[in-house]
Amino acid sequence: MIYITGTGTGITFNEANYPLDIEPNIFAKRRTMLGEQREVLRLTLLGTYADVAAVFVDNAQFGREVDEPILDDNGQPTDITQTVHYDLSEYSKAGDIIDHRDGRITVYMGKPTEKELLEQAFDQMLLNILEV
Amino acid sequence: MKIYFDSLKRLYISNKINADQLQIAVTKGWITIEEVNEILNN
Repeated sequence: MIYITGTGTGITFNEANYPLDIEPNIFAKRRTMLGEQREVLRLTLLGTYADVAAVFVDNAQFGREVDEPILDDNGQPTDITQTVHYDLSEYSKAGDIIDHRDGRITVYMGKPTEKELLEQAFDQMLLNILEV
Repeated sequence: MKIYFDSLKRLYISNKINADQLQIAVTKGWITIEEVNEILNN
């Protein structure tokens, strides 16, 4: 598991600012990717194209590590933080990679569509039968 | 049926099944010999 801005195994990536100030570094929205409308995660990271291309492949296990304030009894944030891990591996389809030429790389990872999930399930069923 | 053909084609292209297993699929009535040849020749 690779954690962005974290301590996962292997390469460590840090978040970087997306070129547009108004948009966050890590951002999910519905858009067309690999010929289908799907939920797509856009990640802008500090790193090299080669490292990003090697890690963010189909079915990559990755997530985000964030320090978040602990809430007090009234639900208000305190000065004490805790490290929280968010698994983002459900974005399992590798998409385009953009090299901004300044050390920042943006990579797109998408969720499978319902049609693709059904195809995967059907493929697995046939595979199970043929492997007996 | 196309759903079987498409699935077997994906499995073959991704090296999850081989030509012998495509022949087994024919015996099960999932695809025809012509469709096996189409998969093998693509």
